[in-house]
Amino acid sequence: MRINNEMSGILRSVTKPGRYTGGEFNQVVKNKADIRCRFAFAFPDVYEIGMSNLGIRILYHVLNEMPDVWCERVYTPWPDMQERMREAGVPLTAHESGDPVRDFDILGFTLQYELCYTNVLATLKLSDIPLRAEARGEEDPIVIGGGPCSYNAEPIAPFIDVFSIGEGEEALPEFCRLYTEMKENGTYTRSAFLYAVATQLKGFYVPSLYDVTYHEDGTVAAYTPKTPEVPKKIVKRIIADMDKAPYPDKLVLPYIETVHDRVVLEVYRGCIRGCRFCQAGMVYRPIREKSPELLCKQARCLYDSTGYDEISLISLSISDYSRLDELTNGLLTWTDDERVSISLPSLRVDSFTEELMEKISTVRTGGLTFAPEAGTQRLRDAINKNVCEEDLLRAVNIAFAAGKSSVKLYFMLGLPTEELSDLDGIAELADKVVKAFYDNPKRNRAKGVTVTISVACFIPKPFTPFQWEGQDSMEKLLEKQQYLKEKITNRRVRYNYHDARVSQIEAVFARGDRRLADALELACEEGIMFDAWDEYFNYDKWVDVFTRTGVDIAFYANRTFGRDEVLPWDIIDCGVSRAYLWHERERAYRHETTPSCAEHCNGCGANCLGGDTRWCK
Amino acid sequence: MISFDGPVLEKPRLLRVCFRKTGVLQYISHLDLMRTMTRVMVRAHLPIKYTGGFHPIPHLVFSAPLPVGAQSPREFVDIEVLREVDIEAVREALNSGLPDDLRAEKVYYPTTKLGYIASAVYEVSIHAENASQEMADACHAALVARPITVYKRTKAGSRDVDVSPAIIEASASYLSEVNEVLLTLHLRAEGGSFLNPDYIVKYIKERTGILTGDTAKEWYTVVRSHLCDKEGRDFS
Repeated sequence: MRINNEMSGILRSVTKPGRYTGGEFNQVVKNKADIRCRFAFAFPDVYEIGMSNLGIRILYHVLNEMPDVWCERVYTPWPDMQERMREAGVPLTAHESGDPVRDFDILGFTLQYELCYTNVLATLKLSDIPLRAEARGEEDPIVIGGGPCSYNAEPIAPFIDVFSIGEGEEALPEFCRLYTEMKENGTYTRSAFLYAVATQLKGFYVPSLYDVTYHEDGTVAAYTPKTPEVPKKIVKRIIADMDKAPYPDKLVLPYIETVHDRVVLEVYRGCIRGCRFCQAGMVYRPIREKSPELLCKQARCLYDSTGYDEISLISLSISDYSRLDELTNGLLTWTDDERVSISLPSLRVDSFTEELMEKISTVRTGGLTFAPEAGTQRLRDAINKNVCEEDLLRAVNIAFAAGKSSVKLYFMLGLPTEELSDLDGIAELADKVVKAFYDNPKRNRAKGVTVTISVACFIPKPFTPFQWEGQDSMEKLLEKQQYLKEKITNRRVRYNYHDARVSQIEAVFARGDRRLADALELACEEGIMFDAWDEYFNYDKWVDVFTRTGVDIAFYANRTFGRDEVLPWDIIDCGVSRAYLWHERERAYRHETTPSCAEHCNGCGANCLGGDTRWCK
Repeated sequence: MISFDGPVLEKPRLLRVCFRKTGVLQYISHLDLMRTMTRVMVRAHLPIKYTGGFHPIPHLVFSAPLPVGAQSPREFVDIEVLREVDIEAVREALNSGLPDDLRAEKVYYPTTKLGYIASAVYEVSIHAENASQEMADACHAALVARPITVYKRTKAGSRDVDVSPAIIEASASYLSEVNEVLLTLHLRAEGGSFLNPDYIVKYIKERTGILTGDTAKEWYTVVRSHLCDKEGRDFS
């Protein structure tokens, strides 16, 4: 960022000015004379959150590997900074160059959670870019969206010119190349480019090229491509061979403390499990592992270029990595000597062993968290969690024997087929964990035990077997939260639960369609943003916005969608077939579990996309 | 990469890095600076003493924290080397991993302790449309008046505090060629740290009407120009 006198005055008056200054070690600065495409990559949340995202770090590297492309970072300024910028008439600028975002060729948004949509609009507004795609002119940047929420991007579709569906390592360079080609051969206009993207490249969704019609009951009737050349469905892109996938050799090092400030090593993509509520477990299929040899090389390289003292192994379920032993042994040949610790953020109870506990220093020193998700075996079977009480008790006993005295357990409330007895199960399970501590002869006798129960509300997500399910009504969620609260009588058990009102708004946008755009636009006018932050989330304001724009919350959040109903996200093909999802839903209602991909192939359909098919025999 | 494989010392030896913290790095807090320096030392593979415990990190001792929004040409951090090192190579290794606004200026074996730092000089340059000799005189009068009461955040809560005991000497002058009022504040170290000059600026603002809050027309910069020992000499 360029710090002129005015900016220095502004920075002096805001909290954490280090969020805005840039100039970090390992940031990429290029000579503008060599650049044909300037890409502003925005994470629509505050710097500390955005800097922690792995996807952006990968794509920042991929784009900057192209000699004629310069990718810079953009974050949503905290409200105090936004206010000062508005007062001073200063537009939003990119981190590296300090140039206004509106002067870029392309503005990308990564959409990691639905509650960031209002921040996308606030970011556009602060950049002086028209909110609606249709209102943008030839001088405005092309606005592209991607990330998990693009699997149902409909609520935000009218504000985004094009979505990149699936993994972007190959798709985004193709996109930039097409852009520079058309700019240079004189064929570029905004609409010609978007049409070319939709029809010549794979995995790009241009919402304006489809007409959407609705039935009288409000459900979607059809998505109709405006010309025969425009694809009827957009198939997500994947990287077939993860060992050949580009990965950064250095990471931009933040000065201020960020949420995940460490070396992040992506171990594999996809998930062999198939928990029926989990979107990531479905949309990131098929499974593609990286080899331990490559991972060890990447880890060492990133440590040398950053000086971080922690390496975090990232995946949806790290213990399902088929070569975890080789990987951790390879890392341990040097990490202890260099005083680097290894962390595993996604442990399953059924794979938690004494050996892991010894090897993994963060497991040794930090708190332990497990996610049984439901309180009874019946419900755990219905959601296909595939862990049982014995697994959990065995895992906590290992931890207690090693001297731990606190455990955190994640649960979900409002799951399909849930009954009050399942909530009783949560309280009983917590009691059993407390009892396990006192029954454990090797426990830390100096301390009492603390079992923290953290309970989220179930949110039906697109491309999951539960995508058709309605969320419990607000009254019911609150009632269940209260019921559970009364059931927990053990004073060794601490009970936290998520705000049901936040979960409801998230559910509306998760399964929403384009008609929610008016509500988002009004929300932006009303100054609603940072919905993922407790201090800014305002439910009453949202209810008011929905009322004024004619949105029925229950239609999106609480309604059970019909089996044959056209879903707003049917325009996207994520690999896993709709028939498979429905089949899994039916199994849920019969409390039948489905084995993991490692056991045998269940025919989800994701292997049609290519990649490692040894899982799909 | 410079490698440091000199002979192991019998006991760790204190090494001092004198560095500047300027430009955008003025917005980085002391904690952030500590983390940044720690990582630079790790990346450079310097043979230095680490802290103990579960998460050993390089053992660094800094001179008094510089407040956010203040620049400095000379700050200090002490490390302990475990091997004989070429101090020029240490400086190079650090600078190859430091941003432009944070540079190691000098590396040397010190003869003093950081605890000798007894006072500091802050220069506050106020740029304002209405800056004038009269304004400087008003600022000066405010600075020499006693008490100097500011509303201060302390561990015990926020309250009015007379900060004048922290001031050894303070003056204001008008620099006509750049149209700014320069405050020179010589402050006393209190328990190893200094009064944040922002409090004095706020006091000046309230007392004199300079700096009305329009950031497009007026702003100020803070530089800690000198750290001094008990005798008032430049610390090194």
